[in-house]
Amino acid sequence: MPDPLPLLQTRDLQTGYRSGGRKTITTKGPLALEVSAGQLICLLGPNGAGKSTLLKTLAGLLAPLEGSVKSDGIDVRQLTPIQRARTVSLVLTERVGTHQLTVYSLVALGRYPYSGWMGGLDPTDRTAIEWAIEAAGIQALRDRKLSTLSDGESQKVMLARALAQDTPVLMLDEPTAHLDLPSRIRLMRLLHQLAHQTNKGILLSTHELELALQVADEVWLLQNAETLHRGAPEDLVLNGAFEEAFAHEDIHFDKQTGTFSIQHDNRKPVLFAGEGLAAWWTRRALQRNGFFVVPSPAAGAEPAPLIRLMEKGGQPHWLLESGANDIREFDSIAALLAILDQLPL
Amino acid sequence: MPVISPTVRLAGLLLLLLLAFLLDISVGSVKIPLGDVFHILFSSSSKDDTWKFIVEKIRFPKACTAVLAGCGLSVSGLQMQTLFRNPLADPSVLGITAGASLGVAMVMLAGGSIATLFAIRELGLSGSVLITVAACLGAGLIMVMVLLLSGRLRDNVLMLIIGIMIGSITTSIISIWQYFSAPEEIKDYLLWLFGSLGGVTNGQLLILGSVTILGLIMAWLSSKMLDALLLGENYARSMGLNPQRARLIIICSSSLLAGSITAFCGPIGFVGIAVPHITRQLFRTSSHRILVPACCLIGTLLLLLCDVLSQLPGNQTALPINIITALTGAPVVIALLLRQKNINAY
Amino acid sequence: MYKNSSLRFLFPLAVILLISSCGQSGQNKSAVAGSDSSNFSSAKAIIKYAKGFRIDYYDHYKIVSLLNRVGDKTDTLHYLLLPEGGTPPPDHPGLPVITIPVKSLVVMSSSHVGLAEFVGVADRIIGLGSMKYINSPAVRQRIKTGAVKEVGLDNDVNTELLVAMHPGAFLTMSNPDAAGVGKNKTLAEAGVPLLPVSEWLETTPLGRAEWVKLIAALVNREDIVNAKFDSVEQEYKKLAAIGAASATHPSVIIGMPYKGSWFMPAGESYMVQLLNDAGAGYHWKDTKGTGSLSMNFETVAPVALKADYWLNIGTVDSKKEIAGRDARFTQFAPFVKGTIYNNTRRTNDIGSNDYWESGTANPQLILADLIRIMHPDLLPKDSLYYYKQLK
Repeated sequence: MPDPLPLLQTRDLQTGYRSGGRKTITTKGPLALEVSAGQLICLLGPNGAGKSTLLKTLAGLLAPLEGSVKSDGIDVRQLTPIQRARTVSLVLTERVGTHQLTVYSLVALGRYPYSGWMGGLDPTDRTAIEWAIEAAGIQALRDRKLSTLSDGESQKVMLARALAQDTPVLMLDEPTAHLDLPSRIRLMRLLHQLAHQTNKGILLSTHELELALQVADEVWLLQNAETLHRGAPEDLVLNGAFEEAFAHEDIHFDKQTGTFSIQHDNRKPVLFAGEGLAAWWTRRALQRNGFFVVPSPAAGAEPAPLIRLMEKGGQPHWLLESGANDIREFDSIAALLAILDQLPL
Repeated sequence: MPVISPTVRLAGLLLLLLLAFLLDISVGSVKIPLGDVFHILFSSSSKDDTWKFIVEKIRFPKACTAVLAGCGLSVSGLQMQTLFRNPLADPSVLGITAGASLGVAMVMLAGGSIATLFAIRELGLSGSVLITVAACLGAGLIMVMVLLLSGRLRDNVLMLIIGIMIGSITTSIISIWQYFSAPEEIKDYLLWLFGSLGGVTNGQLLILGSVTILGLIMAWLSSKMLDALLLGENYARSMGLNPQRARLIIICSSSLLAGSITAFCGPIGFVGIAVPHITRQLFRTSSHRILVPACCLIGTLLLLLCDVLSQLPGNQTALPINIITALTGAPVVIALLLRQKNINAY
Repeated sequence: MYKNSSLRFLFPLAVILLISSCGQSGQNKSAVAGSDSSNFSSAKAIIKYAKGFRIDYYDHYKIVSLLNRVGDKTDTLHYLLLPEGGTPPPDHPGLPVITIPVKSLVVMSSSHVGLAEFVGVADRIIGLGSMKYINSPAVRQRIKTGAVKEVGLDNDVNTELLVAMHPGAFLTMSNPDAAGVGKNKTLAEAGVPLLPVSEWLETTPLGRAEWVKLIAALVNREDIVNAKFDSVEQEYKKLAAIGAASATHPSVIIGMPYKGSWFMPAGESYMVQLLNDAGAGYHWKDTKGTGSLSMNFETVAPVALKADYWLNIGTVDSKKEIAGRDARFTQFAPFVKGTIYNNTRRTNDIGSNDYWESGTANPQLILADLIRIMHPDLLPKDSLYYYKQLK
């Protein structure tokens, strides 16, 4: 349920870098974005589309080229560093190389905007740290040195540090970048839960399109410097925004599966008939190998090989008809592909 | 390793340090009975005026200088390693000591007129103040330059190279200056350049002490900022650190420390880079609230022991302290780092 | 060697390194040899004190040998001094030739200038290592008129300039074994008659002064110089006898600490010889070595606190400056009593000190000063020549 009052709101935003009097625009905008409480937003876009710049601008670390980012009606650039740090916390892509730091001390650093002059911690701070450690599920790691952590563990530790910062908005820049698949899924699920249970607004940038589609409440899709699509992920699939954003000669977005596939230059048509799980995977394999799958097996419509998916003794079987009386049978996709490749098309 | 709280370790070190201090005052080329040393120290009277002179005017200020230089150089090295996020940073590597030397050279060689030089010499104590200020400013200037340039680079190694280059440029400028100055003026500069712990008198100790203590207090108060900077500037900013202010405070403190000590003792290398590593290894922490005082203690201990070694009985000559710090400290650092197997241990 | 320059600091070190043990053999004996029919100089130089060179006279040429004592080995460099137009003797092939009388000199050290002045050939100097430290009015006049060029010191020697100048002799201050190294080698190969004049390695004042005879041999002035040196020698010996007979031996400290070390002349050094001859009591007079002792402040302090005199303290010019250097100096007895004497009386407007120039050839003047300072009653009252009391 989106909160009526957004946590962060941008107006006429244009992002980019200024250096030596020169402006480099990364996202032209003007962008009107909102981060609301309890929302998990995934920022998607091709490499170099300006995801990190947009995140840093929203976090107030970078001045916008035009427009403003406001929190509670106040421009984040006007906030003192401490006030800003109490509004937005960040998990960045850079690795922290401080080997003598323990996990607990690192998480405790999240209390920076609250702790005293010398960094002394009061009971409130300690409670917040304990909660963050628990929320990120890193209780077992609390006394470990940073240098001993795996990528997945260290990402969770950095998340705990951001949680200890106790901010309404949490931003993560490509948090899943170096993780293996199970860790990615676990982290995404954790973020999804956090957004809903703690009512934080969580914004993360990622390449994990398929994961994002599953957990995001909202997707911001940066197509290029000019265009940002926003909306529920499913809406963006249906209105073709994804296809457009990642449009490329050899990349194909399959609306049915929500996946991308590599598209070969000289696609060869095949006809395919079949249903169920095996059919889904067959289609995938054909696409991967550069075949253009014509969905309906309208016989004789095109001079193309026809593949039929059958079932034989509970196992899938494939029949390939590549001529008037040339019918072959296969018991694996690999065998099918091997012969398909040799057909003169 | 059994868990001993940092406080207990600090206390233990403090005790060791006291012993080292007393040992440093007790040994020397001239044999003075221990009882007499203590008598002179605590009641300021002695049956032998020469002994009194040696203990009060030579050994005591030298030991105090060792304490101040040990604290200052180590903490300055610690600050730089954190600020530049580079385990190899230290005042001499990054050209900060060269900057201090430049400051001193400017005062000593400026104008090229012998009159200026005589004026400074005759100033005595206030001359020391002038040279201290010049050294601190020179150190600060170079540090700001290194930092400005390093702001454009994310790569630690590149930044280190830039620091070394700036240091070389500074050294070259001094050399050119020397080349075109009268030997009379160079001589004073050379005298300073080879300075040692023993060159500081009780009066100068007051100046050196107050500047060093000011720098140390600033360093300790900036512990929290230094902790945040451990995570890199972006994280530090996201946690509410004001990077400009933090840099200013850290640079001020580091320049005061490295500058004043270089002004009085000449460039002492090695301590700044080694002690922070030793301290992190011994205390197994990255928290500057502990590291700053711990670096003070270990740096002091190292310099005191080196000074004791430099004047072992029967030794009438004065080996430059630089030689001994490197000879004794370098193997320790190498051993510790080998055990750690990872150089990025800042 | 420019005594006033920073190089001076290397001097004690160099001495320690180069002649840590001085194996002295008989080469210092008179070196007159062979034929007595010389038609180019009526007198022969007889070397009595200097240990670094000898001169052998033959019927129409001379051979100068420079002796380099390293450990117990003696290396010798030989130079053939051949009158203009003379033919090289066949029995000494391959020796570097110096045509005599030498008409032009390039010298590297201020003491070389002093030696040349003593011999009366300062006006033949056409090149100097550095122009900054010259006291001799004659040479300074020549510098003004552009008759003298600056050739640079040590590694900064301008070899091209030197080769182009065609000096009659190029007197370097290097140790003889460095004669064939680096730029020296280049110069020698280019035909520059390079001669290492290492008078600073001598360990006695008269030995240092006697190097005037080498210059004399170069310019065929043995007769005049022998006479002048004899009177220096006699004067020195007379004074030394007075000094040695003094009833008291006031204690003396020398110099100032440098680089945390206090370099005190070692027992067998030239300076200690002077102090002994002046009747001083020098705490380290029985130490070994001809160079300097490197000591820490604490070792010197007990002596300094109770010393009677403090001599040769470098470039400082007043008690105030000494106090500015290090406040602890004010507690030394010589500071309190005002018995600090520095050898800087004859320092001119450009900061050059004649002590290092003419002092080398006139040790009797230095000795007289020292006796007047420490034993005012032993000599007729007169003003000091090189020394002055610091106020």
